[in-house]
Amino acid sequence: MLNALPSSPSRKPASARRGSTLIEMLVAVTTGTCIMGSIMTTGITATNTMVAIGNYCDLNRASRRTLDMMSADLRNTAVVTSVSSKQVTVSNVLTADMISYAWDGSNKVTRTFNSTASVMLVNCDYLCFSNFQRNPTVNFQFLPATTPAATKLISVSWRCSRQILGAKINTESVQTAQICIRN
Amino acid sequence: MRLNNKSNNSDGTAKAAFSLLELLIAVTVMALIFSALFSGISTSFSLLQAARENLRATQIMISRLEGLRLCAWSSSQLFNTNVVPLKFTDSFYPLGLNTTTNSGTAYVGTLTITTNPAVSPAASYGPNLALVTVTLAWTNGVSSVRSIHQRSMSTYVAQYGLQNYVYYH
Repeated sequence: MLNALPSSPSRKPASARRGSTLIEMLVAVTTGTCIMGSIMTTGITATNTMVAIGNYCDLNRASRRTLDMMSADLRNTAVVTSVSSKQVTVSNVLTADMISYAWDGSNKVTRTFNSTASVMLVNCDYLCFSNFQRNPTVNFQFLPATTPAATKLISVSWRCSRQILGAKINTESVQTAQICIRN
Repeated sequence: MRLNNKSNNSDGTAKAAFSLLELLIAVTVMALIFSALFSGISTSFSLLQAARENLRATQIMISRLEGLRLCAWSSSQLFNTNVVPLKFTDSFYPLGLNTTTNSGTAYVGTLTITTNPAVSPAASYGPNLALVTVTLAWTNGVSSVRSIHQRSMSTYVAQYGLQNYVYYH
């Protein structure tokens, strides 16, 4: 009756102990690699997208807030006392407060109200002020003002950006404006 | 669904495997999930780009209207199409902002100036008023899936400018 006893695992026949073949192994590894690659790519892309949108919203919020304040300050200007490509200083027509906007050349834009400074923009990698006099010329061009006091129109443009993995795709905010002084 | 009797274990029980149909369904479901995910990401990028282009269009229109404040009410300035052209172009990255030339999305603008516009209620100062409308049009730049965007903005220009009581109060 020895044959009625269950056979132990160590005594399986050779056909029942076979492992995966090389082909099966290769197919499994390839499939696994494809799936893992897809998941990783999706994850990285989704993360980049979220970061890019978040960065853009944040930069845009700061840019619009800055432009709102700058427009109000410059429109109420009595006279422009100093202007260059990186800064503009004006006095308020009603309160005679001195207000200036200045870019440090690489990162920050600061608004100084009398002697109180506050940072308006960070990650600003370009800013340029231009000042023009009153009369328009051909093709809606304005002549540069010869003195700060002759300024009637201030053109400003800036660009703020952040990088994601070394690229600036969709993570920059561009702002341009012409502000007419109502003095 | 399992297929039975594919092979037997050592103890004689059936060892089931996935059928081809199950595998195809699983692959199809995964393909759908991934394509939906990528489609969503792609759409979000497109919407973000459209929002940026729209914002830039607003900047161009405001800038154009702001410059009009300096134009005198005369045939030599406001109503001179050489000084205030009725058609103009601008770009997403204007000169000096990002490169040494204009680059990015191209905007085509038109300007209409309507004197003595209809105001309600009718006003005696109507002839001293002009309605200025700036319209910008641009495309997404993709020739295969081209979509045309258009925005416009209007303002009034008065012959004698803003009154003091409006300005100071």
